[in-house]
Amino acid sequence: MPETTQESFRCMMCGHVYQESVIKREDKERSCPKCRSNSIRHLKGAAGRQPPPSSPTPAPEN
Amino acid sequence: MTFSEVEEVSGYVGNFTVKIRKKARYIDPTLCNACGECAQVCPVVRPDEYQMGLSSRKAVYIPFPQAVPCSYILNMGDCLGNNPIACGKCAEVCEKRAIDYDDRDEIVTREVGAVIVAVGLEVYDPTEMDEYGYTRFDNVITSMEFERLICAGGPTGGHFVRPSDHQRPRRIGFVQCVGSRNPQLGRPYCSNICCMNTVKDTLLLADHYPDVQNVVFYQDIRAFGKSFEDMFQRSKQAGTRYVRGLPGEVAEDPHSRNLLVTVENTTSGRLERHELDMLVLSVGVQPPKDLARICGLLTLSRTSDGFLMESHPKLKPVDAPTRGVYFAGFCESPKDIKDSVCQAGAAASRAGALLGAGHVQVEAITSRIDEAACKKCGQCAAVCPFGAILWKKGEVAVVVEAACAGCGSCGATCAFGAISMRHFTDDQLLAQVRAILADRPQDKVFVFACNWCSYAGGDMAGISRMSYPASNRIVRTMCSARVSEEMVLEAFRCGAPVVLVSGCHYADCHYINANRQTVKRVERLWDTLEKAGVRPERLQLEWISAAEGQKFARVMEQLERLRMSVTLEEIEHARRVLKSKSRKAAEVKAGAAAGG
Repeated sequence: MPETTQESFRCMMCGHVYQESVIKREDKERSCPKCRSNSIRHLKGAAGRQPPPSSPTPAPEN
Repeated sequence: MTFSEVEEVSGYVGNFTVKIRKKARYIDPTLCNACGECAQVCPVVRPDEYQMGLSSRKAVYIPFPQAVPCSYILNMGDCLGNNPIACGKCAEVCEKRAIDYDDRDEIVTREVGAVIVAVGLEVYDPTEMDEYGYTRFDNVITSMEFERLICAGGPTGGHFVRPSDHQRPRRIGFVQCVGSRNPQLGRPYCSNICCMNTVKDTLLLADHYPDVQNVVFYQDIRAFGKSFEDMFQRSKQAGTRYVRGLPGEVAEDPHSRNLLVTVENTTSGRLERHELDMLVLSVGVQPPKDLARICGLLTLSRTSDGFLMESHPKLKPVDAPTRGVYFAGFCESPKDIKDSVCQAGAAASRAGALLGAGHVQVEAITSRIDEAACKKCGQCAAVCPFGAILWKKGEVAVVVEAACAGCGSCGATCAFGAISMRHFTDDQLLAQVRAILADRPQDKVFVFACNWCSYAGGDMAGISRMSYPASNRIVRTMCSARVSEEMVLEAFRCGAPVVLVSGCHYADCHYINANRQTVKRVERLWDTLEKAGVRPERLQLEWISAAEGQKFARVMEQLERLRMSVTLEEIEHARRVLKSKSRKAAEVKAGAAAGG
């Protein structure tokens, strides 16, 4: 069975932070479950990095 | 060359060198006359793989009746032993002296100009879908086992019997889409051939045994090929009942060994119970397990379904992204015999045209390595999706221009500026960045768009008369992987409030998988920006296909709102902190001079 871990991701467009199962060495296109943006930052580390202190990005209008 | 395996492929279009392992047969095919006396005396009995394990074979056997050459082979994994010879009966009876226990695998090298990949398919193993009882009930079989049972050359000589008592079944059920169109199993695709295979099976049964009652449980019957609908109608006229709905439960009567199938008929909305003598699982098909190895040999990529990805789904459906490599048959996508034959003909024609031309026209946009600047690190060779850069430790990298497709991934990766892309040099692209942002940069959204998809997506938005903010300024590159970290940072240094790097969707990348390098680079840039105190959200990444004009317009609107949230102080801060390498080096030098 492929090794699966729970990883944290942050959408750089809407700021949505979410967790997703990641299969080791998987080759998968990511998109935000909330706004569908592909600007997905992998928050590496066991618990995932905290979102950086920055001014909020306006939410996209879909 | 049969009973052989490709071990290694090197070279490039027109000049491939292929190493093939010719496996030991232990029987000389030039001497063997297929009399079969060796098999008669062989004491080893094994399940016959060709007959789906429904009959047995010996350790010495012909793999299948149509095998070429038609000679026996000795499976040394099954044989009692050749060193020392444990049995030797086959050699004793062979009048032709064809058996050679000392035979060894042989490595054969061939020089070829083109490669056609036609590695076929594997059938889905339904053991994991136990709701249909395949592992629990003898009378639940797969469509492949059905083929062997109904075939005149099969283990029963074409007499269709059920496995539990060898009696002829009277009521037979077929379950469609077993291992196909099932996202829960990670198999969302339609296997293409199963519907018509079942229709054919029902007609065969009706022809052989007119009293048999067939019932097919299905989601949709996809009879889209020539004469397929006619065949489907004939099956219904022959008495086959089609029930729209897949069984929810299969149980077995312990006395009669009959199968009790519960299914919701979604057409009538009623729950139905069927007592059947046999149940046939119409199993889906999948790419062969060792396709990953072939991808590695030929630098090919695969779609999310696991099939090989073509160079272009409409315009180059038989070409691999690696030049000189072509596809035929199921390895590219599920297809029936007719389509496989068509594709094989097309692949042969493409290969013939390539070889017949006698020369290869190279891309105008290829990489060039400055030997003096190359630090021999090999990073460029590691990221090249086409294997077009030859590098050995301690040696200067060399670009094979015939194999280079011009994605520019190597140029963006080289940290020493030793690689330049013809027509898309660093200097040219940086000059475009500076020129675009020379005047009122705070009003602009800076976009790097790949030639094939994102740029075309912008075109699509335009020709579709979609309105979107006019603030964007686009620099076109052949692939998003051509955009180096330095180019993005230079855009911020020039005062860009927002930068977008956009490319093809993962499955559409025109350079196999070069856009994966884009993702890695953007991830690194987010870290760099964050460390420098620049809001990383100002750098965005999007995959936009040529058909997604609407997405292009939507992204531009989102970026415009993002641009308006970026203050002049933020832009100035980024200008100040994101120093160029040359400026940093100059500052270090000046500091050292002052200290000295």
